[in-house]
Amino acid sequence: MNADTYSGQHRPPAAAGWLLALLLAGGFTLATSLQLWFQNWSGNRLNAESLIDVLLGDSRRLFANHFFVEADVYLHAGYYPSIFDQVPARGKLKVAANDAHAEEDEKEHGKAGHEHHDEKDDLPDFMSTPKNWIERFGRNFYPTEHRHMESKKDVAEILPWLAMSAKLDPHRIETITVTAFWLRKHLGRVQEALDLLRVGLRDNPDNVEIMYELGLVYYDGFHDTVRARNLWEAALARWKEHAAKEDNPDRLMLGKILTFLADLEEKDGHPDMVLKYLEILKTTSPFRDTIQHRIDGLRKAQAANEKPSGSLAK
Amino acid sequence: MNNALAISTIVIKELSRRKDFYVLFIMTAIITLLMGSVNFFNLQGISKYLKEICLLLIWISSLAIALATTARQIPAERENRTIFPLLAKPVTRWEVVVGKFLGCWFACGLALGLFYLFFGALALTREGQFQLGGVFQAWWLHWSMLAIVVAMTLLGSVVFAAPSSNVTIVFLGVASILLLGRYLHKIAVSMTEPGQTLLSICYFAMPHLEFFDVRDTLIHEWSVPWWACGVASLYACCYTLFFLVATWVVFRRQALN
Repeated sequence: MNADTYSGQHRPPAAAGWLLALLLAGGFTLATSLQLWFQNWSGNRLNAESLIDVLLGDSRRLFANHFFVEADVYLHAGYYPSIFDQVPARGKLKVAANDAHAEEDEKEHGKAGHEHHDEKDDLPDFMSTPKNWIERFGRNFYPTEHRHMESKKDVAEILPWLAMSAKLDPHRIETITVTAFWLRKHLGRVQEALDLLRVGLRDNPDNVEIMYELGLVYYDGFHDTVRARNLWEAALARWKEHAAKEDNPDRLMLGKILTFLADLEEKDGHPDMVLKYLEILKTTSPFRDTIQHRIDGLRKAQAANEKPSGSLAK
Repeated sequence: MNNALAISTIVIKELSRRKDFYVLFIMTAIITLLMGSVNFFNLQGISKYLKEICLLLIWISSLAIALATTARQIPAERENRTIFPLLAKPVTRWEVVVGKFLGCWFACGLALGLFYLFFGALALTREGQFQLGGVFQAWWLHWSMLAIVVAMTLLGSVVFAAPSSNVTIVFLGVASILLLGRYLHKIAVSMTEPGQTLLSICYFAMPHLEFFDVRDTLIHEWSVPWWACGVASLYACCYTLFFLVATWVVFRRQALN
């Protein structure tokens, strides 16, 4: 293009100017109508609660899941299968398997139950013998032995990943309860666990699992049985409400709540309440005989206590 | 060899004037320090997540520096027509290739050294200890891997028409090898013929850059045997020579104008 282009002979026709004006008017008109639609559109990220939501949208859940798995990788000191490794089907990740469920197992069925649970959920051996020299030699450059990080400092290393996971997806309940468990049980950070669960409950109102975990924090961390009972009773009520709406309610969670409630009532000397909770628990637990045995013991003790008072009345 | 070293000195001087490294180094430092300032449940002395983030940024930055600097070397000489006086010195085309490679590789090594010094300082301040052997191994293996990448990019710069296409293709190749290289044979085994054979050939023929990625061992405090480091260095040497000779073979028959 040279200077002649802008001379009189090559001046753009007037129609081009009109066309530009028309396009501008069209754009402006469309913007006024689209803006209203965009404001009310459910996918509008500008109304999101945080900057992370605006930037990542729903993909934040993907990252949240990745960070949760990363915490499990840290717990195994980097020895971890990739998506290409042939791993037998696993239950929960170890980071999640050590949660309050294991605690309840231990409470209900003794140490053996807890150990059994731990073994079941642990990482299976996924490294077969190397197929070629490249694979054999390559194993010198990444962790190839199963090792658990159990010290306080090592456990603390998983928490940044769990915190990031909880931040990215505040509705991922497992992350919240698992983080609270590690904080309370292994690091003694009861106040931090409480704060995290309160935020979790605010984001997920009426969530049974968070209420249950909150109860544990008060019971185990602050030794506040009154608040623990209130929370577990509230959790039980919420569970019943949810169960009425769902086809397949979480009976495992019901078992956990009932176990702790029965335990509390027993400590406070309310055998009728204990029996009430144990009778419900018997219908959901796989360890019916153990529970029946406990019920029988309680009834016997109750009868023994009632006899003297009965003879006195005579 | 003197000619090649002279060319490499010019390349290093040229690269020291470019801003790529400074920008990437400052960005890595800022992101790492920002992540380090985050308070996780009032816990003190947590460092592994920070080491992981820092190492990831170092790897991304080093790849960006290596690719961006190497891809432009020969095309820029041809575009500016400075290749003619250079070859009239007299300098052979092999010396040009080796000089360019050494210049880029040494520059990457220097940049990498500074990155790893920052990493070491970070580990020292957070953990109160410095895994000198581990950090040295990680730096050396990383630098050895960059030798292959630089040589590969030089080959690309005489094969592909533009530096941008070269950078894109080599980056995709390197990223694929780093992510999938270790598992390619496992994937091949589960495939049907002829895919199985083709993928197996790729697996055995490609440079296994994942050998040089020892981030997990450094973060989780495992150790890499020194003999394995030595063998990996020899492995890198073989592939680097292969790509350099291939570059020379293509370049020596190429018209320069």
